Amino acid sequence: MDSPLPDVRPPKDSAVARAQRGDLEAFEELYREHAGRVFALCVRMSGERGRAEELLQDVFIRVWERLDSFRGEASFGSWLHRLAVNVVLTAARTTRRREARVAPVEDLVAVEARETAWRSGAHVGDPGTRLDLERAIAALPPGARAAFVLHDVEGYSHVEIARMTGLAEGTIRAQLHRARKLLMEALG
Amino acid sequence: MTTEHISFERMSDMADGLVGAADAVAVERHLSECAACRETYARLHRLLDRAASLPSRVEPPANAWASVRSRVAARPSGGVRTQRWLRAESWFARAAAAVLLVAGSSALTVLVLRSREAAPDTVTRAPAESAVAIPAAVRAVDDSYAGVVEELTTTLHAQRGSLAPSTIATIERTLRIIDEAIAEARRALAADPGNAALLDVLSANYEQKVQLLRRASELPART
Repeated sequence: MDSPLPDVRPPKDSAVARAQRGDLEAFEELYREHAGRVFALCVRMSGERGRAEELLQDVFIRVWERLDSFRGEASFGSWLHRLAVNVVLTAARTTRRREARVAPVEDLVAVEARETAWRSGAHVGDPGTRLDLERAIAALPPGARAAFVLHDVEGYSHVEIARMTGLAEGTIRAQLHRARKLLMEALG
Repeated sequence: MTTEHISFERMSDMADGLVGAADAVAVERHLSECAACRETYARLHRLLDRAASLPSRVEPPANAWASVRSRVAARPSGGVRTQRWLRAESWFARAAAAVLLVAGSSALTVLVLRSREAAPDTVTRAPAESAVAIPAAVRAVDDSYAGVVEELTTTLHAQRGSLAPSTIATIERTLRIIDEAIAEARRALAADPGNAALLDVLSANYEQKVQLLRRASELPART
């Protein structure tokens, strides 16, 4: 049984609350904290750096416009990330018919070179291997790429992805199978 | 030993824990006996491990914040959603996006422009949905768009006579699709009221509707 949502708005002096009141400095704090994760999502979902930069801007414009709707039911990071996914998916729908994407390898090389912050230092791994995977993800067809990034990189469930994309769970699974098969073929 | 290899799709589902217990036992038995499938399954797991260990952050260019700041500085934080429509994108592109947004969804149900009287209901209430079932957050989104949608719908209705029939048909078709998307989002929110992503989808659908109505209502003056 659903119960009324509790009012768990962020504390008045938090960066979120100050940004909700229109404080741009507070919004910059939020940007600095979350831009890296959002940009990683944008790069991987779009497959190209230039587009990812546009998407990053669109995401934070949208965050700014929607700040009033954040009530603290989830963490701000989770709320923002879901909003980012939605912005990226909506943009992808708009451009899907317009162009067939080819992996811009040089863009991803540049992205990799700029990586400076990692959430966990325990997963450094071999840079060459990571770059191969990033390139292969960028070369995937858009639908398969979205399913793979959201599920296998970002950790969303099939159900969550189905809700976010508006597609059936079976379609998400099929796209995921396709992405994994293509990646295994590409990576040898 | 089972001679037939396991399909990749079944392995992929197995890796995600989506096969039943009995099927999982059968898959594992086959894997223990078939070197080829075992190798494929191991490669799949290596791929998934690598994907999960990709860096969660990629730092954007240093000047990206300046671009964001310049854009947000001209807009109020939250609330005043109607100002978003200053973006210079063609309304035809918006309409196409709206169509894609709900491609494959259920049958279309509402004609917004068919009658002036019907418009307010299509704006604020999904079919077969009682007011009691509407979560407060959804009502807030509904309310924030109701006024501007009603105003634009009335304006557009008054201008119908100056629009080409093919244009009216395009507008009506797109509005039907957007309204169905709104209704679907509201139904989903009724079942999952705390889902922020769904709330965002609902707002995005309303935004597309406002954009379309605004552009369409400006058409006579521009041609």
